[in-house]
Amino acid sequence: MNWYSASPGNGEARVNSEQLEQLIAAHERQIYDYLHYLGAGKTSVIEDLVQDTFLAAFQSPNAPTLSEPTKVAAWLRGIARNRFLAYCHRARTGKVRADSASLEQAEAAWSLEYLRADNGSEYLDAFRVCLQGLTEKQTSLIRMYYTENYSRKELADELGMSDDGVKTFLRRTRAALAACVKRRLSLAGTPSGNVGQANGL
Amino acid sequence: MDYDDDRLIDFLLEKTAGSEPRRSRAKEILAAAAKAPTQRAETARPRTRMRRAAWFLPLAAAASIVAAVGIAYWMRSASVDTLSGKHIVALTSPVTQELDDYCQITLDSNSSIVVGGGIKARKVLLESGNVSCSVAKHVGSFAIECELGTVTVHGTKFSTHLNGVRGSKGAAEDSARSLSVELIEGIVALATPWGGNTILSEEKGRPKYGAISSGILDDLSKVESDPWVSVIADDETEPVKYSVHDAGGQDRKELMQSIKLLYKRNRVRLIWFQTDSINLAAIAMVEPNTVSGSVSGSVIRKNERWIDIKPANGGIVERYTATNDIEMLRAVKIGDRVAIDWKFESHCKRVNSIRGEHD
Repeated sequence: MNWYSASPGNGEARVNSEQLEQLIAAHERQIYDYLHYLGAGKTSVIEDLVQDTFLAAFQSPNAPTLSEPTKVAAWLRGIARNRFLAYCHRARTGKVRADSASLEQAEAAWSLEYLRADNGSEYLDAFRVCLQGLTEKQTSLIRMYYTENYSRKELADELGMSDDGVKTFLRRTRAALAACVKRRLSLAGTPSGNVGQANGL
Repeated sequence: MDYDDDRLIDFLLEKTAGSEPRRSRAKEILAAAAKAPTQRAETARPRTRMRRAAWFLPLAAAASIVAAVGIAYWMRSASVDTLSGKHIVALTSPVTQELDDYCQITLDSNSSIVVGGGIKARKVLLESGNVSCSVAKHVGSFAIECELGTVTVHGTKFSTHLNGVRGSKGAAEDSARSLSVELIEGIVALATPWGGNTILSEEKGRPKYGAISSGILDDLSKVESDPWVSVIADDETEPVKYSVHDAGGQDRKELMQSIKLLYKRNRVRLIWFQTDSINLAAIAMVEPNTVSGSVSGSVIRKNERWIDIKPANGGIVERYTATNDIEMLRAVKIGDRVAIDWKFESHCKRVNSIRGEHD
């Protein structure tokens, strides 16, 4: 398959329509996740930015060799970051604030911490196991906040806690999950490591 | 925004929680790419309802509970004991009864007791209503028992009041009872079937105390400096606020631990005592006997996340919380007659389905 079409003479490479379709099939989900992680927030905003990202990729004269998925993914993430940054500049009054430096930090965390060598599946598996190790109270609060969309104020009212108390509780729960995931990943990374025996939380 | 571990976990929690399903924009992107490279495809963005993530579903719902209410064994009698087993009922006027020369009990109207125990070791089963007792010191032991607890005394004066109704099924979750003890002088102790032993004495300034077998936790504060709960007892309509007595020490610590486990709308049982204010002595959640069920009745209170239903069969008022989809309760109005299928999950009864009923 001809993965990209090079314009003779000027060294530029462009993505054609067929390749664009394949790019979308292969990377749309991850770009969606990435923009979600960056903090694009609403589904509609993320979808728009995903769309912008792939259109920009289509228009780009400097597409990498498409037979190298890792490079392609990094290239698409770069476009997505730029689109997200432009969006943040347009929506100055919004909650989301981002700058080039923080987005570079985001890219480092995403590619090194989350994606690793297997597109994040190892991290996600460890995370799911760690979720099972949460206490009943932690699980309940996480459910109310993330799934049932209670606001922090509603949670504070519901649980008889202060707003700061809820904030602290959620932060500590996330920190416990992060520590648990790291432990599991480090165990999985050692030759004799047995992830199944890692006592999550 | 800081893109640290916290943000990554935050993102994964949002992702795992389901939120809105993703819709591929492939068609729109390709169409836009075919037309004009810089033109964004116009797309409709249908809003779909949130889905609950699978990992949340099997939560909660550990088994049932509620203490088997222990009444019994007070019928230990001596050979010359003529009082044991005596059933005393006061219908329209008070009745006074002497017991073994060392205690005197007075039944208010609409009260009934069964005398048990033995000579100088009397136990009285309070079936209903209110009894006042005067017990001489250093003569013998004396206790009043009911399904909500045992009041033990050694020379004192007090009155005990038991009220409430029992549901037709006889299960603890269907019964609504409360017990109160008012100390006139001396010392009494109250022990409940679910634990807790509260001493009531004049010196401690606790002239009155009691127990509630079941009520709805209407509101609460877990703030360390001023913790409290507000409970609507099943046989009452108005909430009562119970403070945590600021005496410090282990009792307060344990009480705070109990309160921290509670959520609004939990069914709870509690022991209280009254000084200047009404204080909490012990509290615990009451889980239903089954993890799912149905109820039909009238909506008597509501907000956007829950409704309180008074069952048509005359049972006690219960609170039912919306699941993820709070829209399902939006159209419900106070006074509506509804039928609900519920499931006990994450500390409360949640509405699986709801439909209106017509006379």
